[in-house]
Amino acid sequence: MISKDEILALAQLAELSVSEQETGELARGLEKMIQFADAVKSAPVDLTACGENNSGNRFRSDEAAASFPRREILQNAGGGENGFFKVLEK
Amino acid sequence: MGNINKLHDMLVGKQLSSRELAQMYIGAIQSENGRLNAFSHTTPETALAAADAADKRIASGGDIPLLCGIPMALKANISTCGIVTDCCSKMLDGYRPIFDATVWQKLTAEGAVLLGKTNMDEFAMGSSTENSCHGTTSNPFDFNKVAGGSSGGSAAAVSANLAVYSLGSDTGGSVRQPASFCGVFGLKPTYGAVSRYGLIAYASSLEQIGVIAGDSEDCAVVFDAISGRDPRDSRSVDVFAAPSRRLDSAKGVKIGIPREFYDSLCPDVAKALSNAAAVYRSLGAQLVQVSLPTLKYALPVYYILACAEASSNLGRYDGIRFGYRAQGGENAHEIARRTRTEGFGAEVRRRILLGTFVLSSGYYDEYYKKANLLRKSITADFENCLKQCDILLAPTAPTAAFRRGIAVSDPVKTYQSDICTVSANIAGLPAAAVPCGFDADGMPIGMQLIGRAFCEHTLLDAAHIFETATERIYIKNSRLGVQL
Repeated sequence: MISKDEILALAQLAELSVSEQETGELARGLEKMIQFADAVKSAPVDLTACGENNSGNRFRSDEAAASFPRREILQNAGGGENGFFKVLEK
Repeated sequence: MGNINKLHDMLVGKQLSSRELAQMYIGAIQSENGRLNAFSHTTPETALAAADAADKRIASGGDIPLLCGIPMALKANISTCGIVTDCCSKMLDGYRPIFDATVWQKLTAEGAVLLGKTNMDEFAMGSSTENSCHGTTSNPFDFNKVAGGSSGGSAAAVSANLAVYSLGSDTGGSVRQPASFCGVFGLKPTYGAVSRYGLIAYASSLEQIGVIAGDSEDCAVVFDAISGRDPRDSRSVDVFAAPSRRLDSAKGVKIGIPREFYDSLCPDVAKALSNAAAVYRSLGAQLVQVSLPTLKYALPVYYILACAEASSNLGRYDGIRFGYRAQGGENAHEIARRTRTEGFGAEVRRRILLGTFVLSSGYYDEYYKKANLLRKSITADFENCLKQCDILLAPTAPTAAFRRGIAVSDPVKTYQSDICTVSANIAGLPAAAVPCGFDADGMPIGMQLIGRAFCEHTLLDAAHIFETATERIYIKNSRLGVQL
């Protein structure tokens, strides 16, 4: 059974907060999901293979081109401040 | 004849204008969407402006694209410049992209008329469109049942005649399953056939933008318009370089029946699939029993890979550059943590945590790495089957649409309903949901056709042959919406 401490550690990695009340329910829910995923542990596989679909990436040529205007990029961040994303109010 | 061709002829023949057509759909949405909740955001002014432009183009003569003036919808995770694209999540409340998805650019060039963005499970994580911040979408056949998910809004809109077609996204069945539940046609293309540029990411190695339409003919028109190589999606491919094998009859076509798909089906679904196989046999197709021994691992492989990729893709949501931002927080980490905790719904947070778990030190090898290795085995199994036959015939879901409330009460149990669909995403193969029956309650049932990579037109032709042979009796025209 996944422990409360493990839930808190995962939450920290995922940049999520988990309240004391939630850890129990989350632990139970996550445990069910992990049990579900456990089926892969016993599956026989070719350890030298690597899974992917399609035949890989097709990169475009490395040519510099214009980006979006700064003003447009900041539109969804309340306009930003002095052309920058604002992280904290001073 | 599909609706797109019919409407195209009417528009070009000036029997009605694109504006009149758009107004019919806008009016229908105003009447029906309140109880159906297929649309999360409607765009009537945008639609009328596009319709007027289409009318001008038609009046000027020349070669008019089939999709010109045709009213349609886009799932809420497909980027549209200046139009809310929120993935039905509080986290992207009010977010208006500054660019168009490639698929939307292509459809705009054809003259498509956008009616609105359709409801979905938050960030495409769900199978019932009950995980949306905008509420649940109902099934047009029974409002007490789900439309399926995560593209439930798209499927319900097309089924209820509130849009001629819609684009959705399919990561583990999210176009096919709702199409099956709502009695419409749904195509998940081969991975790489349609550009993902502008699709807000959930699981990048699994997802494709797909088409939901009334029938195979309409789907084919839209697929041809949106597919093709895009330099902005490094995994996209020139699909037209090697055209699919076309079918004008089922005679001699080898249809594989993979036995592992047929476990645990409800009796009505089993019967509908059996009838569908019999139809193909009567048309001269050869049914071939095949096996996919690794199919039993497909669901856990899918959830491990999808949640791992989701935990990475959704790491970008921190409240700083776009979307919802929580109050308070004394540093960037705290702002991000509060924002993400308040902005994401419960199912999204669960999947991020599972993804974080399978990628974490100590668990990475036994879960994530193992799932990737199994992915290769599953893909190889499909390749072996498709050497013995032209297409595979399988169910889309073990049941017809289920009652509202069941999925949210036990999410992990609901994952089982994806058993029939996730494997095509894992293997990157094209797959289509085709209406083929009804259950005892009159709810639609869809069969699933799975084909070789980049052979979408083989699938579409096989579906068309079935539709014609059954005189389109499973393409049930809802009494809701616009009656053409």
